[in-house]
Amino acid sequence: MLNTSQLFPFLISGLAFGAVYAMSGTGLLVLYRTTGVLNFAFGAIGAMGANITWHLIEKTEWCPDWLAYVACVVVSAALTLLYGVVFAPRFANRDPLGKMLGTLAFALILLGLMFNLWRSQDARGFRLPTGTRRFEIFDARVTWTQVVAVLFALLVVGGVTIFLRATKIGTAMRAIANDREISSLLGVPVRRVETAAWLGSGVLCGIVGLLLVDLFGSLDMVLMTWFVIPSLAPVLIGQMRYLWVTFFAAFVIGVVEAELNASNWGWPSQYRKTTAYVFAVGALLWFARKRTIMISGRATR
Amino acid sequence: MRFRRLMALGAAAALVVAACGGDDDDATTETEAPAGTDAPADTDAPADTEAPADTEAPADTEAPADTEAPSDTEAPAGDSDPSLQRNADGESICGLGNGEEATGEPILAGAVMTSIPGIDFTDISDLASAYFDCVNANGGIYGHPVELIVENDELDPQKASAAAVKLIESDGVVAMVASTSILDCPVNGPYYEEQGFYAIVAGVPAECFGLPNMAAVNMGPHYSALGAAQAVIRAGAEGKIVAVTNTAPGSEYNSTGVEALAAQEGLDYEAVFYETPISDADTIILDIVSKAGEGGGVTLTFTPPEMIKLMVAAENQGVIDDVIWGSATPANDSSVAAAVGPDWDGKLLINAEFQPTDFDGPDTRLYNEVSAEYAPDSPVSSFGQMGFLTGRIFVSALLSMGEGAEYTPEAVNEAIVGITKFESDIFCKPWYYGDLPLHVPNNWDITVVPDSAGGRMVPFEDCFEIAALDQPLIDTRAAEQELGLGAFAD
Repeated sequence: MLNTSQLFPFLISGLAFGAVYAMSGTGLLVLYRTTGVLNFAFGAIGAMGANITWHLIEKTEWCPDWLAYVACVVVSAALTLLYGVVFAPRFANRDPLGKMLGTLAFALILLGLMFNLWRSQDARGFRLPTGTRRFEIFDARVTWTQVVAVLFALLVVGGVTIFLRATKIGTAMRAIANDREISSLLGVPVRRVETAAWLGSGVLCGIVGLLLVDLFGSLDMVLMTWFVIPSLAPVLIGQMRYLWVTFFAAFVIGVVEAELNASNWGWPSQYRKTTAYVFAVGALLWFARKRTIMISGRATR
Repeated sequence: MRFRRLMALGAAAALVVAACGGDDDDATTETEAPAGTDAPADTDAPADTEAPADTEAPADTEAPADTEAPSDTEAPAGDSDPSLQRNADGESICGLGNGEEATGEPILAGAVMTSIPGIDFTDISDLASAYFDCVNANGGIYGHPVELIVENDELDPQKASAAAVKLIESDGVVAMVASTSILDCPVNGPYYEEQGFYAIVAGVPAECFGLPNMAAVNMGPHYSALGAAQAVIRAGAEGKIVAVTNTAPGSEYNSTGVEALAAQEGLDYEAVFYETPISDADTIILDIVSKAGEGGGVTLTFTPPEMIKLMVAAENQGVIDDVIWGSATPANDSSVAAAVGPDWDGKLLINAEFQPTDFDGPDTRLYNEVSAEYAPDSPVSSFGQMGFLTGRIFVSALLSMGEGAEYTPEAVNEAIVGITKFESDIFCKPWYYGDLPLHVPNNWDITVVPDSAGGRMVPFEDCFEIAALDQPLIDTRAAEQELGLGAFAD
């Protein structure tokens, strides 16, 4: 029998993970629209930043925790920028699949590096100051990290929306997203705008990396690296175009996935980890329902 | 536009592939406590759910004061048996302990282990290798260094099988030592038997405890979770026991001992399985606690990285005191104690299988020294103790063959199976191999609990017998009594 009051704590967890999906989705979407690159290294870069943070906190005595957290964002931004400035231009003339595979290769390189530098079999992690502070709402415990994640997601999506509409570089990003070649002919500084997009995406990688360590309860570099896969689902639902659709889809996926873990749902809870993929495939089928397909020279629906 | 569609299709394909690869989990089976289940009729198993007489609150145990560098320059006692690996003062030493580098022809041993995200046993083979490094720096086996070749089966039966064949037929190992794999025993057990190999392993699945040519230094997740459940019931768990573990092949075996104990104690029981690596610990922990009910018991069987996810989640959700928590051996790891907060102090009853890592005994001291000097990256843990013990037992067997012996597979395995009493302060009772139809030589447990301030596990209960609730353990106890092995050794 379904007891709705028991489902509330699952809702809290779902909103927090939905917020992280939303932030990841925003980072992926804005970068893709501006540069044409779907960044599969998003999670690996965040994981690398988080590993640096762990190293600074646990293995050094001179580094204050706040500086280690900042280092996660700085390292993630620097790595993303490195890829965007050094490697991405070399894939500029490749098709989208080639560009995507370039980032996948970068993710695998980073993952290998992390395996070599840090032991994956150890119980490793760090707590954000917000992770150890909690309050109760309707008998559910909420950590401030969960609150921060939701607020950050709102801030990021709202901020990006305003940035794209109200700033010069944001306008340039939108122009490039609409037509890269015409924008270039009209004098839009494409490379500079792309660099800004890589940098912004890198900052988001770092923030997501920090939040994930706290939300997972552990620094799981493999899990963090491939977190990018389910994060793509809301982007696909947003048709790789609509920021706010991506935002809301991320929360829906996060909440449904978490609620399915309540065993009183019965057998569907066994399939909760497919939630993001089911939503993505469903959305693609829905969007494709009225597309015209050519079969043997005849148009059909 | 076309590019975008292409990209969307590509991403969707990736998503579908990912989804197919990771459906999952949480396959739960719920059973009522069988009304009329009795304890095995023909055993005189001790009252195994009673508190040991000297149960204490976690003590603030300190590290041994006299920890020194490995006593590798001390000569073994003049006329004592070198296979004991002790010096004249009774201190444990690595091999001959003469401080001379072994430069002869190496003696090769092989290990098959599983290392994939979420299930990683490399700490065990790492410590066995570290012990051999220490032995090699101390004269080796009468001048022969010991080398361990480790193969990762990656949880793939074909790779597990190929690894064993490669080690024995290509690399020419003379023994299988320190293997810790979910697949090695079931896949390679018959092959080892055919080749005349008697493996010394850290066992995981049932086959590691049910074959004549496999003997584990540990008791494995089945008996370990059972020991944890015994501790949980002693601590007052009532109503229901929930046994939680991963979805790896054969994981059902991890929980069947808990199920038998719950039936014997008249408690409800439920087994729950989660795919690893765990990504949603908060919701999993809420579900587990909801299943166990207020005052119920929960046993967890996961490796350290997964354990801390669940423990941090329980801390976040404020449910640590809602149930009584127990854990199988892998959680006995200093990195777990260091990673969780003080809320867990004294509240996770972990079956350590071995004496605490800061126990004041010669082998424990040597283990800590070897770990610090030869494997500084490995945490001090039960896994580390397992690797150390497999190495030490193997070296003991080799040294017992005497100087000038030929280290052929036949001779070495004969020496291994001939071990009937290996004493170590790390074990509760002497360990043995022997010519038996099956082996569960480590069947006594010790409970430890986290101490966050010290970043380590501290003793909670002294040695107690694992309840003999299944035929292998009933047979083992009978054989021990008949042959004077283990707890019945002189």
